[in-house]
Amino acid sequence: MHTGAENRPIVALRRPLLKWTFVAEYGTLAAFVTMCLVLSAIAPGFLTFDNILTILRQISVLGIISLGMTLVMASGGIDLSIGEALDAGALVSISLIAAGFGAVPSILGGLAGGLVIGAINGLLVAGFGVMPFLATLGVHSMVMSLEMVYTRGGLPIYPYGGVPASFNFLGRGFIGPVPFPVVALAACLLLFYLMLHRLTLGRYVYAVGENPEASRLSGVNVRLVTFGSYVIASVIAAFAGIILASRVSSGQPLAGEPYLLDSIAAVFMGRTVSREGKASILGSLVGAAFLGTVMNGMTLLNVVFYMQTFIKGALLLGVLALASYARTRRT
Amino acid sequence: MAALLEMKGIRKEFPGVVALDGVDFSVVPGEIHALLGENGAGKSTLIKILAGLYTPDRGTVVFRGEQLNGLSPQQVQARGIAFIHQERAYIPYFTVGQTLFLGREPSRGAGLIDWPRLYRKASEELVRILGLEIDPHAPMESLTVSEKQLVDITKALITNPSLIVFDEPTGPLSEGEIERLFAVIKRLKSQGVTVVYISHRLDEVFQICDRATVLKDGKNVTTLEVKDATPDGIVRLMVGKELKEKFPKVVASIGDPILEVSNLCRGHVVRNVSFKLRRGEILGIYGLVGAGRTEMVRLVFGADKKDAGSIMVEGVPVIINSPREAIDQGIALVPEDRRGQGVIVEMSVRDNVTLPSLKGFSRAGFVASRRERAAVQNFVKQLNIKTPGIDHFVKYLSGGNQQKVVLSKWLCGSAKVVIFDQPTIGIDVGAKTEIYRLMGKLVSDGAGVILVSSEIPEVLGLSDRILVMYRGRITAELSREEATPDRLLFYAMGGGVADVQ
Repeated sequence: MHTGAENRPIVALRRPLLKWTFVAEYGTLAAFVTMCLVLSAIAPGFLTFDNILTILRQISVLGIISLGMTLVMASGGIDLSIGEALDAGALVSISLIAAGFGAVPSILGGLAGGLVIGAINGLLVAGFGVMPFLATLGVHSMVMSLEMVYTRGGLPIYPYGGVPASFNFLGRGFIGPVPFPVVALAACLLLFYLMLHRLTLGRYVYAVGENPEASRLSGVNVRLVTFGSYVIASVIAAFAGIILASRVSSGQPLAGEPYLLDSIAAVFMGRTVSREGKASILGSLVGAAFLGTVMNGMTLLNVVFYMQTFIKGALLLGVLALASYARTRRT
Repeated sequence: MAALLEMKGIRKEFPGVVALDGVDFSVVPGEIHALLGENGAGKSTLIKILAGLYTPDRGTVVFRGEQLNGLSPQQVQARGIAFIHQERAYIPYFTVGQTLFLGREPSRGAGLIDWPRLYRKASEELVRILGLEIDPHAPMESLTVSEKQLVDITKALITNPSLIVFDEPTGPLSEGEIERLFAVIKRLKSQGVTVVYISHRLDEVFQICDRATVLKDGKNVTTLEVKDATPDGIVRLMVGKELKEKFPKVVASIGDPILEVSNLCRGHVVRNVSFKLRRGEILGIYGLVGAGRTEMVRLVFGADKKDAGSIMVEGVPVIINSPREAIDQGIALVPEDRRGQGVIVEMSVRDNVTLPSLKGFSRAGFVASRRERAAVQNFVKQLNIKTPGIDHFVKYLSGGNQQKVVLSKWLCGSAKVVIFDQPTIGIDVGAKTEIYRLMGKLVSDGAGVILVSSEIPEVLGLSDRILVMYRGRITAELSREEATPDRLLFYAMGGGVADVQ
């Protein structure tokens, strides 16, 4: 016992300055905070109430889509057609508006468009046992093609009579000083947080994602859980699409495509936030916020437009590389 | 006669177990030599050392006068030893011809494969070596299990090995296919090839083998001429007499039937199995690897689809087509593959324990966290699960504690029938005894327990009644008093069946 106590200072001297365990668990968060501090110092107008609301509004669509992607990835799959689910929400709802329907039926129609895509994905993966990557890749390519046919080669849909104010509210309205998309993001966050981390469903989703066979032998309805994950993800993506359509008062074909890789990046980044490396709602939010803040900061700093995605990619890789390496070094 | 293969004083230790302890194994040219022993006797370890897959801690391997120690698997095969494994990896969409010449395709030069020549040679070799008329253009996945094996043998023989090792080759084969394999082995012998034949089916040994070496607990028992031996004698050599471990047998009062299974069938893996399990009873199911025990209990649990058969729980016919339906009837399975099927290693102790019964811990879909935590804490204490906390991931626990987590899953859902499939594999002695005690507690609380095990002492020590399975059938039912190691092994090796024939 005595010798142990005497040895202790020597051990302490050898301890590395940077603890890998800390990096593994808080590295991504620390990187995010550091970036915010740096931007506050060098970018004029970064740390203002208005700019923060701007960032939140800018990440609202990505944030909402990332929630759906988080659910699917937690269940052990991936959804490459999530951008097309967003398009379905946007195009169907705006077409209904153009056809003279009110806001509520148009929104419901848009959500139904997402539901159909999610149900096809779910049927392919859970029913036929097609690998998620391939099933959703096929749906992605089919729906993209349909969009081009429907919009006669990619012409945006502008409703002739304009967009009713009630529909416009989704993308452009405010509740107090807060833009409605930010409120919608907050509401979806709460909903998904409860679903994935408080409801029995969330427990089943993670169980199926980690080990479908052990889950089945524990009485979990693996197919239903898988099917449900795809449906919910597509419906929420369609909701994001409706917000986007409302914001631009039109239906832009293929508008969802850029969100696919960003949402996957957000989920993966979020996984480095969780202790055990799991997809989580708050993690994905950090991921989406990170990506959104990088873009906002570069705009404020007047970074050349074509360099922006390069820098975004480099920062993303930097964080993932550091977090992944720290995980291998963790004791 | 000079030995073709001479393995001397082989010792191999794995963490916690001495797998081989000074084993000698000698094979003379031209014979068919059986390597016998119970599960865990050390047969596979010995063969893996021969193949160059393991390095022995001590001992020498000499083949045709050359020392093989330290050679890689490829180098061993290049010296003329071929191995036929029970299940060999193959590429499903490769054709028979491609499979046969994988890695040594006839070439036109410049890296181009001479396909016509490859397929012509493939047809020739198939006929020349085993007299097979298989289309070399057929993809591997279109062949039957037996045909794949024969292609595998052909592949091994193209290089003209002088020693060929068959490791439990008849496991996946039907009766007719076994006959065909034996014809092949006899043909090989007539061509002067020497064969090492590993099996635990005695009838096969008596059909084709000349000599047999018996291993037990990693040591040589004896090597004998098969024609001088009797099945009973060999069984006695394999089992030995001593039962070392202690089993805390709980004698509970045995009540009404709690589970009745009739005419359960699945392909030729499970054939017409019927039995009853009573309240307070531990029913042992013994059999060797491949006897269909795991497959049978999986049918009872609804994990696989049954072709036929019916199940009654407490005298009431029930329909069980999925694990969920079995669980709802109070049937639980502690599966053989603990890490793959029993627990979800990447989740916490709490998540695992309440997974089957989560609905009972929820209100309107929300997990009742406090109640759940209290229940799990209780099991951790009651079963003495060694974990820093209930949110600790299961992957960090030892095998024995993982198994207790599996058990907690079912105790938490208050199961009436608990099926244990090889529950103590890879578990240290202390945790084993605790698992045995928990079984005892289950039956004294009025549940019924089915214990599938390959370990004779375990089955004998704990069961009130024992069923023996062989090739998908129940070949014997023995009471605790009737059961002896010799008898179990005798029936498990198809002894009783041979008598009937």
